[in-house]
Amino acid sequence: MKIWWIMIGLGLGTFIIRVSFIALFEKWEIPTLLQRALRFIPASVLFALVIPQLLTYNNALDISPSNPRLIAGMLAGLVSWRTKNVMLTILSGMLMLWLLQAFCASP
Amino acid sequence: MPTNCSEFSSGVKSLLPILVGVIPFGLISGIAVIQTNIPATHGMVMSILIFSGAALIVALQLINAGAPALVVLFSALAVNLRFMIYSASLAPHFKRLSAGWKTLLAYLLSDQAYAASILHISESASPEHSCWHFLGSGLTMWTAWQISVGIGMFVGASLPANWSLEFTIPLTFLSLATPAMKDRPTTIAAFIAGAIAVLARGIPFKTGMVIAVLVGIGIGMLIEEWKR
Repeated sequence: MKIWWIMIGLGLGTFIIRVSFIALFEKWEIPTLLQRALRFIPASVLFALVIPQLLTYNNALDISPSNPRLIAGMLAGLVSWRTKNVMLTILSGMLMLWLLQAFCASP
Repeated sequence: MPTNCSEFSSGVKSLLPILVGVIPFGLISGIAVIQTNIPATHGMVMSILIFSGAALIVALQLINAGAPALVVLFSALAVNLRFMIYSASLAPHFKRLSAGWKTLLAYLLSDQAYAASILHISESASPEHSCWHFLGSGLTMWTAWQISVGIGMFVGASLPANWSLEFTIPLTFLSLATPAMKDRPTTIAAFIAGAIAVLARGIPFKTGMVIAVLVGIGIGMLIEEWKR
């Protein structure tokens, strides 16, 4: 049940953001503080989700070369940074993860 | 003089080249949705309701991790706040349209449709016609996106579990984050948000996530302020 409320909230919220200046407050401008904050939001939200997933292994903090997700994630981050290519990023990260899991099987 | 029909088809055509990047990302998003253990029907309804790949995966991942509704809404809607910039930029051109048109075009607003149509719309002398250009690019994007997400979910459900495909989720986020790290302040903000999220991961209800994002943004803005 809860998931349906979240879905409706997200759908409505996203629509309100999209329609905001087109129909709701046409005569306004984006507040300066929000305008300055906006460009920091996507990378901050996404990194707040990504970094814990790369630095933890089996729910414990693991900042070592034996953590395959950390190594694969760092490679993918490098590829993404250099190429800005979504497919190359995902492919390189997955390949590295598979290689590490195949050859350095950790318990 | 452009007609509604010619405007619509030129909108469709302007989006077609962008689909080369959209379709693979839609497929990956569909696969990622399935990895969050959310039933495909829920995923598809959600995709249609929010029509935004990043927000969709962010939301589903947090739901799956047991985050409360408010944290899910905060994080996913924060990712979508960028649409406000597009909304503000399109508003003067859509001013004279009916409420129905505004509603439809607002729903179809996406990074891709905006990119494909904004130049055409801002150079056009007649907004009554150029709105058809946006309808063309927006509908093309919507259709291609939903179909590729649907196929991705279908394919994702039949792929073996030991492929660790759930790792496509952080990889997708990485590939969306780096283009947004355009300079030093945005990059530092992102890494600080990530570091705080790690330190605060034990805080109940995933509120550490909210704190991490707010501190990251705050520090980014401060650095930008000092540079002036």
